[in-house]
Amino acid sequence: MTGLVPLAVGDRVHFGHRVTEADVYLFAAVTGDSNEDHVDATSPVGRRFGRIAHGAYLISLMATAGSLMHQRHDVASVSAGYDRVRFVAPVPIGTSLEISYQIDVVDQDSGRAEAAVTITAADGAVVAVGRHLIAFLDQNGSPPRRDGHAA
Amino acid sequence: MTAPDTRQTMSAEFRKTLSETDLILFAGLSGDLHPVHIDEQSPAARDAGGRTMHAVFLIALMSTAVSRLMQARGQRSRVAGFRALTFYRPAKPGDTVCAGARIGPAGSADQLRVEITAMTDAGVLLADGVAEVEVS
Repeated sequence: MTGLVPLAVGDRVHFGHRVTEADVYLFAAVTGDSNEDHVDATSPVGRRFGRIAHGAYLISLMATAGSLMHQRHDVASVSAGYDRVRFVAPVPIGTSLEISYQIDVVDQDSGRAEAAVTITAADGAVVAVGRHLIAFLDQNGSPPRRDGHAA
Repeated sequence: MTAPDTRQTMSAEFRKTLSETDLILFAGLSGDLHPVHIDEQSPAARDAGGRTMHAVFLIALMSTAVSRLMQARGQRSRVAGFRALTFYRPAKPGDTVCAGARIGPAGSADQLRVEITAMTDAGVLLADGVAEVEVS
């Protein structure tokens, strides 16, 4: 039987991104999270590390990697969620990041796949990790919901 | 007279009516330009009944609720991670989302497990999960 999941263990996408001041300030603006860690250079975190990116911003970069993977095959799927997300080190404005997304679980029976996502800084230090859970949809649009989107 | 004990605050919420601006800025910020978010005429958006917000936007709103909760408690903290983040339904521009954060029974005084939810104004669950918060 040909499986529903158009992915294989080891499939990988990666991209780089340098975190700008605009990224952090616009993220604060749209999410409503203007905590001093992100927008106050004189705060304790600001003085120690510099103003830092939001954790949810790092997850959004993970999701973008998932979207890039999805656009490779364009089979209808949904982002079912994330698990075991850890923010390992602060990410100050100006940090150059590498986002690496690799499929490490494919279950054709359940139509599900999982990816390990790692974000590293330019010096190779890991700053965040997480697991992305993907559900592929059959022709009836299940499971578990249908919006035709992977991330 | 003693100051009120802010540590008694166990939950907080953040409500936002999601705008077109939120959607477009989030697409640009994340780099996730999937057609379901930015192309009303795409098959994905048509299937979904219109463009949808990025699912991660819901995580961001829940994270804001966590940030507000810890500010209300007067505690310096950081979100060390998230577990079991699950998406049930997509949000759309124009939806009013209520993101909630509530300190769960598990965890300790300096390692809080905060249960997070994102719901529509009508009470439909969009996403939930657990934030692991370190109190410093």
